[in-house]
Amino acid sequence: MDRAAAGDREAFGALVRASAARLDGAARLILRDPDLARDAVQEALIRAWRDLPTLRDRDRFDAWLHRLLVNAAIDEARRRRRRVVEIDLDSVASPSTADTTSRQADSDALDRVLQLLPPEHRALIVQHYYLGVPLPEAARILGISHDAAKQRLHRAIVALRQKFESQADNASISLEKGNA
Amino acid sequence: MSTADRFDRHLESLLAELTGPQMPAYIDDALATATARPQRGPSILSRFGAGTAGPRYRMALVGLPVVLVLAAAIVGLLVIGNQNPTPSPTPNAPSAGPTETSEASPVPTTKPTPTPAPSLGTCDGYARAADARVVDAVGEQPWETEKVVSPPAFSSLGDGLIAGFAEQLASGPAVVLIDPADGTACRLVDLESAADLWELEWSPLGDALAIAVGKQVLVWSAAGLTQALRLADSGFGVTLAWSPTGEAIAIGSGSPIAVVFADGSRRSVAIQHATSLAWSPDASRFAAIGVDTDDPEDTRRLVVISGDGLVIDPIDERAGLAGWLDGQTILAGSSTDAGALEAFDLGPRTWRTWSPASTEPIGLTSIIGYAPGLTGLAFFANEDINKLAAPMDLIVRDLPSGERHVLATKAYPPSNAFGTGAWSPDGTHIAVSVIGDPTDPRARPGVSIYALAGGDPTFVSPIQVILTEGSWQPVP
Repeated sequence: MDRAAAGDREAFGALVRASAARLDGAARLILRDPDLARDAVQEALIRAWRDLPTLRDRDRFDAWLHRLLVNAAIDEARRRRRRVVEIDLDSVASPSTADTTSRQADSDALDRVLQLLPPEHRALIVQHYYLGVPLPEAARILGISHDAAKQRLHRAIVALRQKFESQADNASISLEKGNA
Repeated sequence: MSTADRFDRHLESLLAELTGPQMPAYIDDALATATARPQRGPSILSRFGAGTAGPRYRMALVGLPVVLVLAAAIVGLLVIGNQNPTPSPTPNAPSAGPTETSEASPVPTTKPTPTPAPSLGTCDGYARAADARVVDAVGEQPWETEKVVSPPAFSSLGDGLIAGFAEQLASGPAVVLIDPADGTACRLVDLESAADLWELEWSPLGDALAIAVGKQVLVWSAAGLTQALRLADSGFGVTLAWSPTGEAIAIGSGSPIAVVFADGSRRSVAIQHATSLAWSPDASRFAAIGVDTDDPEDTRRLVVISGDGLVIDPIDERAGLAGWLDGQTILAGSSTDAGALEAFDLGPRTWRTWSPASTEPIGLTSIIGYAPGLTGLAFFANEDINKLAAPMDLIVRDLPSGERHVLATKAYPPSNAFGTGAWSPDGTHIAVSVIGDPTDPRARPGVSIYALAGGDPTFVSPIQVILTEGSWQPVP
């Protein structure tokens, strides 16, 4: 860490590579576009390299890098917001149930439902459930109150559960049956 | 394992499957691009090691007069560049697109008077339009996960506490007025909009209540409920701040900041996604954390805005705003030392360390709020990173010393999670909204009121108040 902060590019590369798959995954989940995700990761790395010498609590490098990535992804989403078509969640039909008796079907369903959420909501879910960021920290990263974060996460999770339950009802599978 | 836990784990594993563990192919190119750029120099503070105290920081600044003079000159130019030479009653922010506003109703004029009346701070100020039935719902109606309590707010005199409550996310929230002396409550007004209740804010004299709900800002007063502003985009939430004279409300949201004046006129300020607002004690200006509408980088900055909304003074890249220490000094979160507070002096335009970082585990805390006069900071902390809804310790930090006091351990009621809250105006009580643990049928949402002197908190659950017909109305 000290070497990277002192300008050692190889040391910085080693630090980043350890988290690269997670960063890319989080960006793709939030932005739902691999090209935008790449841009967000690129921006996060630029800021990380630039600001690493000023990071005082270096034990928190990973958390800091996650924060830079989420902020970069949200910024990217805001810049591209005009291209985003937001759809009323309730107006979307349940996923096809012909082949939903598999875990792949769950994964596909999640993919579809995530697509319907605004990027800010996806950022909350991704931070909390994918990056393992506690909700208070996720709220701080997004610049919102803890209450607002709870409300948003709650809404998103209720919507996700409803979609899954709808699918499960149709396909005779259920999270209640220990699908996890 | 509960259904909720199973769902959470299922979600975690599915998200991991969606992305996979593979290293992105572009990572080498991205690294090369990033590291081709220069790094910033080390922080001034780092020269003195972690935990640097204020005096050392000030010593470092003494050695940098040239840098500071240059910085002040640059900031001065930026200020001039942001001034609006031709003010109009409701200018739109440049390139901010359609923002607010229409259908504005005047904000009640609330110039300070020795005996404000009528006060909305007590249920006695209301005539009852219909009988209300009081029912203890515990055991009768296990609450559903949709029930939500918004952050509470004390009146300026501390004689009233307001909180929002929604039966279901799909239904309009109700605003409930609570007497903090004994915890009794009456249901004030039902809001028709089935939307998030973001914030409730009393006017300085307690004769009006600003309500941010969905994409609207409403004002409730003796004149009834009026719309002050309609927002184009509420973003992640709406935050409100009355000016100390009660003559204006600053409103932050996904849209540019709006300042709504007592005569109903409005001004749009080219700062969007504002999440923190704080007026200076003399009401001549307010500080905000937000994003310049013209900033392609979307950098969150601390800015100071004149009370008329015409002049924007950009200060620095910051994420958190605590408030005004006095008319010339703003407290904000450190940009490099999480949890520490720094003071910005508007005269010399310099930062100085003001309060050390918290020793709480980062990410496991929920800030309730700063005490009046910024003499303390209340927050909840939870040692268990995996227990979002677990009981939490209620902690108060003295400021600026940072001395830590545990006010309540595994705070009441058990099995509930805590939202944000508010200090009483005299700094003796803290009110906290409580959202229940969805897996615990005994849990219920409400407001807990803690005394700094200790003792059991008063718990008020709006679920106990069920309106049978009509509504409560303020006495004209």
